[in-house]
Amino acid sequence: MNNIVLLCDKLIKSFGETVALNQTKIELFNGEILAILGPSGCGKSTLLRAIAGFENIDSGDITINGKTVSSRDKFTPAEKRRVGMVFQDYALFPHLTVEDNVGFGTKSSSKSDKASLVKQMLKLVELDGMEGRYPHELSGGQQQRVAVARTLAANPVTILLDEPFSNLDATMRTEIRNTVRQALQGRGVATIIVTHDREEAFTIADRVAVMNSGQIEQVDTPENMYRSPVSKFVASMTGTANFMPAIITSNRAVTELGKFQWVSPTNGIVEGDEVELLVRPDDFLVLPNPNASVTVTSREYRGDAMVLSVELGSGNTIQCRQGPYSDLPVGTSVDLVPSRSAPFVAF
Amino acid sequence: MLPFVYLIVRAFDASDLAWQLLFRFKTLHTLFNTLVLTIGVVFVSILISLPMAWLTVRTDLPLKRLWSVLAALPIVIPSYVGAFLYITIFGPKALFQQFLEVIFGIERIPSFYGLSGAVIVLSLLSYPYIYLIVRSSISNIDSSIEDSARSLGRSSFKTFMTVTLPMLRPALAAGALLVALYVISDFGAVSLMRYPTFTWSIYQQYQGAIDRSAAALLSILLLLFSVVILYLEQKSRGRIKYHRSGAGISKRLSLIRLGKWKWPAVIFCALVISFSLLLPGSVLLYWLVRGVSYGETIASAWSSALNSIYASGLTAIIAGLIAIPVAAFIVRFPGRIARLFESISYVGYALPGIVIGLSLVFFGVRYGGFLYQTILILVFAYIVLFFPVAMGSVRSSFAQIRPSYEEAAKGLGRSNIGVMYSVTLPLVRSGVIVAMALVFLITMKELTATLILGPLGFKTLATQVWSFTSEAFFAKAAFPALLIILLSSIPTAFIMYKNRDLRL
Repeated sequence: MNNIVLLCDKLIKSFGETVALNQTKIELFNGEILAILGPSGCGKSTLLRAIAGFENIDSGDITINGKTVSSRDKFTPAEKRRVGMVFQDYALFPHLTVEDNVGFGTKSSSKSDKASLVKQMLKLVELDGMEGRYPHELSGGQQQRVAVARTLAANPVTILLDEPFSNLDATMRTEIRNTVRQALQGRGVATIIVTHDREEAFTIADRVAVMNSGQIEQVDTPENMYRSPVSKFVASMTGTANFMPAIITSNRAVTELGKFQWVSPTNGIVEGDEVELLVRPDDFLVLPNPNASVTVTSREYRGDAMVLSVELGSGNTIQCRQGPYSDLPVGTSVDLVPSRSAPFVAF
Repeated sequence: MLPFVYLIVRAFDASDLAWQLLFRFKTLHTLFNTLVLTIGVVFVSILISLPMAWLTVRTDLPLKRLWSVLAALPIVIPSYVGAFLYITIFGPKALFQQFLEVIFGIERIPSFYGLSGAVIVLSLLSYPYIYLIVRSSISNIDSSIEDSARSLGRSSFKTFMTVTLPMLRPALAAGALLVALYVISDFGAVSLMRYPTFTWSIYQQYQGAIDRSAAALLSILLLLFSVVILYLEQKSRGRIKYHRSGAGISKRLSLIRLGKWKWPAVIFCALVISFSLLLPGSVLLYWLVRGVSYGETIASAWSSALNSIYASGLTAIIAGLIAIPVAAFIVRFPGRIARLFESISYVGYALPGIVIGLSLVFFGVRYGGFLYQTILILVFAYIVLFFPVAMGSVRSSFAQIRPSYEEAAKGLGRSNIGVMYSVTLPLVRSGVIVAMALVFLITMKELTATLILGPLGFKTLATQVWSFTSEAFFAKAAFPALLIILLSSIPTAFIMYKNRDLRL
């Protein structure tokens, strides 16, 4: 498991004034799916294009299976890297049928080998029987899976997916995501998925890397990422994040809602510091109390949950997710009761 | 439509003699000539335009912008002007041979007349049609498609052959269609090159024979030929669609480095430009200077120029205005009638000027006595010929207006007419102006219909150039030829500026 397939080390790439990659470092292990999560313009697409060999880098090294493919003075062309890329717009060849698209990158010499490989790949992405269609005769989700099958059929060392599900409508997305995930895991190919969608990153990936301004801020499992982000940026990227001012006393953080246990990702916090605690929407229960100083200011009903915005005495607002049957009207005075046993993360 | 019906009627009561003429060996020969010429010109034009388009869009060719503009310019040279210029360069005892004689003492060079000369001349004049279409198609190809092929293990060259080229097929077919129609309807160049094709034979029959039914029969044959080409192009599109299949954003194209191929590429471009533009241009100037120094008056050209501008301008304005309601109808009420309208105007693309000219002559002589020999019937012929061109431009600008724009305006309280004035017309205006410019440009160069239908004594620049060149008064032809080129350059520059796809 722990063989490194792809290693990017200290990558630097700038386009004129803008720095797209800034000392970027990524390790990709055998058989894993790694999601790179970041806002648009953070450099994640440039990173992908640099790995695929469509973009040269200014300095640093990209190593695939121990062989350097990009460095200051070395550049292996894209067609020699065996890196499969699935584009955001799928980039299916419009003049070829599904079968010819999927078979495009295969090396097998005999026709029947090729045909059976294509068949196998299409089965993997649940598109059996679509061989004769042209790309424009397929739905968006089907095109997407053809693109994945085409990449898998070329038997790449690693696969890169650029915002693979962003063009699909929400109802199909979950289903297609599962199919693609199973197909990728079934082949055991190390995969990088670039996305700006947290849910997508969390559901499909074994590990998530959060990228900000050309740098990787944190790499971890989705669970750890959500529970112990290393920065406010990572906290916001990985879910709804409210920040509540607090003052550190001996092993407690004092807030207007009471004293809480805390941890710090940086170890730089000492007694007396003014900090902010990360509050996730599930951290407090909202209970009506006519004498409380906290009031409900708005409600957002999501069907499976009721998200209440509550205003604290200080004027700070935080979001709290309650069950779908929480019927507190706007203006209700409420108490916030912590439902979290783990310490709060302080920045 | 009426003229065609009449043409067919006329053909049906053709005398036996005319029918015999049609089935003579000579007719087959004409058919064969036309076919060979068309294939040859299309082939050579592709050979010139495909690398030219690719080099100027996708590579780091030095002086790229300059080449891309120059390569499009021969489009303003009318075929009869081009042919006369090339003849005075490469013809027997002409400039090139004199030059060889002085330097090397060579007294004979292979004859420039006939098939090979016609292919060369027409290719050099018509390749810009393919070039412009292929160019816009290449720049619309999403680079992620080429990138995909690369990451699936194909080299740049193989990617071009297996992915890029097949995707250019519809553009090549559309360009080839234009060139093929240009060739089969061309009369000026083939006559000057003494290569007998349909148009030439029809004109001979019309001029020489008393029984004009033979000309009518040949015209129908020519028409059929055009329709067959049109049909083949339609058919070649098939089931495959070539627009991008995904809904993603297109990225900027990465330029391909030419490396050691840089200089061969520059030499290729320089050769094409020298032969298609530089050489004819300088020879035109040569004749101009010679004409002036021999005391040729250029005054007579001015009245022809006014005639040309008047007839072309009138045609452009009328065609553009008629196109507005027709295009609106086709786009807004798609159905059987609209489709019928559309296919009729599409067939119009394939109409050689000589066919229209002849059918209107037949028709005018018998039924429209008062119109015959007036400028009105000439303008009418122009409109029939070039209305499809106007339609194409106006239609596409209508198609770009989403119905929701008009609905939004109605929702904001405008009446139907109010919507028309405040939303629809402003949005199609530039399409209409482009249509008018296009029609003006093409009408300016039109020769055959003008020759046949122009009132007695009514000279345009085109007919003037024609009458001088066919009698080999090259020095006299130079000035009106230059005027045509200059006058058609203005709308051409305007169209290229307006049309995003053609912008260079």
